[in-house]
Amino acid sequence: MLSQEDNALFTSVGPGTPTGEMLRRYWHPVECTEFVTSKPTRLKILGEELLIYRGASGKPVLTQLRCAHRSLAMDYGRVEGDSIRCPYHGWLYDATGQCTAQPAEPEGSGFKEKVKLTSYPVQEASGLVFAYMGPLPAPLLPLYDVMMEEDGAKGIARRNVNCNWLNCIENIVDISHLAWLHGYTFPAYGAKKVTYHWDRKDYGMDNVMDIEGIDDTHISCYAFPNVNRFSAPPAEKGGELIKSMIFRVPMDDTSTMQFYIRFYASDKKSINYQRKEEKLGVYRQLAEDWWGIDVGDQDRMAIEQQGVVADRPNEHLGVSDGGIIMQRKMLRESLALVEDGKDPLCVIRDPARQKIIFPQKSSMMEQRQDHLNYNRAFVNWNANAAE
Amino acid sequence: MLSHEENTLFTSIGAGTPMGELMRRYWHPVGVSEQITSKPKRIKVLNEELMLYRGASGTVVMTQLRCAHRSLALDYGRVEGDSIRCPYHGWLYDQTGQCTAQPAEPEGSGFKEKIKLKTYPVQEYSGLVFGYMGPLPAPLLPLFDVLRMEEGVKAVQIRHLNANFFNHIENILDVSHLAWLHGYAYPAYGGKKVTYHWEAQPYGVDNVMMIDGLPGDDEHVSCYAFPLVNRFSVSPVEPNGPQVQSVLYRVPIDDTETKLYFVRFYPSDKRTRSVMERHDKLGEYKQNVEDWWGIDVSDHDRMAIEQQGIVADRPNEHLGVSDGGLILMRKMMRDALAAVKAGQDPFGVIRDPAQQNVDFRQKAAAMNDRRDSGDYAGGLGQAAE
Repeated sequence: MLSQEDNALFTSVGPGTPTGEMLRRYWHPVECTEFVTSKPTRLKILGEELLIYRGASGKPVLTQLRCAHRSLAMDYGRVEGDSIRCPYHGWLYDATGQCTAQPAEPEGSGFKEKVKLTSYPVQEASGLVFAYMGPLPAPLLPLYDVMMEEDGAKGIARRNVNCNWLNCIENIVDISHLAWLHGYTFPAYGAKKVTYHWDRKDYGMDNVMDIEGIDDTHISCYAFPNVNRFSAPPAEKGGELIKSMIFRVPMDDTSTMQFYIRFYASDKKSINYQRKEEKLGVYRQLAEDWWGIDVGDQDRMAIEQQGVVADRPNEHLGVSDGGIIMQRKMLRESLALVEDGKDPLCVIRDPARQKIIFPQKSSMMEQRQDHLNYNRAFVNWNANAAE
Repeated sequence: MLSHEENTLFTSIGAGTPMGELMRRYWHPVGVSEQITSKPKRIKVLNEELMLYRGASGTVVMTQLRCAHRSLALDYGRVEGDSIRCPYHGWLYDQTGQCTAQPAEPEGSGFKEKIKLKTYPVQEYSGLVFGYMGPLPAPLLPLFDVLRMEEGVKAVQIRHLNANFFNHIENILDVSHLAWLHGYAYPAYGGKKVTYHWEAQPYGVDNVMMIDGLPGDDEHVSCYAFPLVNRFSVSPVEPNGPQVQSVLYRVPIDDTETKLYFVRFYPSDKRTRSVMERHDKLGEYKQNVEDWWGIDVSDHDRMAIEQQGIVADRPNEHLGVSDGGLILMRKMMRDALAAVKAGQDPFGVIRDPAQQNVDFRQKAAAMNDRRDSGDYAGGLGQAAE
């Protein structure tokens, strides 16, 4: 149970909020590489309205959305070289956000030198554009194992969910839901007696399950503050497990963007991009499942239907919720570190620690029920890629 | 004119507010029997998120919407026997709300004994599901005459109103609007000079009208059953047929929305029943160009109630002699609030079985004459087929 105050503290991510400041100390994916083009697009990250475009030199640029002059949204603007021009009065901003032209101002005016858009460092890796919105110098981008995979098919996707980021994060370490919410899809878990524990790690924590009837443990991983790493069932029977990770990036206090990387070992090297727009309360139905909702939407149903911000003052956590308790402890530690002027947990500045390899044990994932949606898109594009 | 403070007092119905506590002393319809099945249904009543389902034994269960564990909305859950299971982690709750299973917790844990969902008593009568959210023991359900009518066609219409419940309650006692807002549909009233008075009754108030031009000294009577119900007669479906007997419940959803349960009974040799549900949008009203005001009679009242402002601006109202009913009703509300504060049953609560059947005085000859409108009694006509 959280107090109303702590629930608000953990779930408010705008500029100047303690959790917002803490989350700004990490690199976050903000868009898929393929969707960043010379057509500027609007983003919302950590409560800030932003603009992303790809300049003529090929480098993505991330700035505030609105022109500094009279606040026009510059996704209506035009990219010129590496600069963006506002359509309202023609103000031009370079890749650093510096204003370089104000056509209506008098010749020789020094006004434009005083005008600069907020802009943030970006870099591309593994099909995603990552941004850093915190104080400089920026730390290193963690290179998670799935990001470093190259020889095979990679699926990159972005998908919005209509709830606060913490609902998404708690669902990572709340592994006792697997046996119920996803129980139909994964019969090795379904309604089985499971014992759970959680191990703190350099990168965050491991979720460890011992499942009745299976000798092996099952391990999935949480990378603090907003990433998880797990293995998903093979796209084809007898194939290799799919190495997966999901980044959860707060758009604002009531919506979150999820970025997926799925890697499928294959002799065909390919990469595919997807974008999904999801509506609150609309879930893909599947009559055969226990709960009538397809596995592709089960987690989204759960995290959205806890309430857009879960009602934590009225929750009742048990022994099987130890992961949530541990995650909250990490949040508190990180908030305290930032308050003390230090790097929060899991920020990496030493290049020797930049690569992160996760332990994964999930043999029981090989066994799964067929259903309408799972990996259909994946299989489809993989087939297309193979052509 | 109400003070701003009293307007807030009368219109706030969440748990712990004086008006909310008063409204929790009465049974309210929360659903209709046909709609309550083994598929759980989410509802909101008196600003509480709730859920209804029908267990295997046929019992209707009403509980808080959210699982006590991690607040998942249990309308996504599954009914097992008379219990409801949460889909997230499999917690199971019996029909009293008691948690009886927490599959992920260690063997022998006593945690589940400490977990109980809030539940409320329910009962079904005349095809309506009634819930009681106040202190126990619950009083008796008033059996209004229309509910007890059996030999004929019964139609239940559920509607959604985008306004505070108090706007709608005032519209019951505000009978001087009939001659204008509904004047086109009922020519016997339309633009006529009417004198009004209000008579206190054991169930609430009778609205009495003397209408200029009506033959003899006939009066027109409709009734208000305190606190949220009215009873009236409407025009026959067929010319010269019997009038349609109606009772209309208003149930606050929260401070800005209200659910209506409109029960109409038409004596007939066909014994049938129909249920219709409409979800109307604020500011969208069915047009009828022939009507004086351009709006169909089926949306007249809703337009008036919603367009007073979601909570009517009573500090700036100006009430006249013809608004005597509102003034009387507000006095009854103040008395009832005082009774609850003093630890007593408020007006209209019935505990004596001899008083459970409630019959209303009805005189509505003026209603026999009406113009057809696009949609009037359409549902009833269908139900009679």
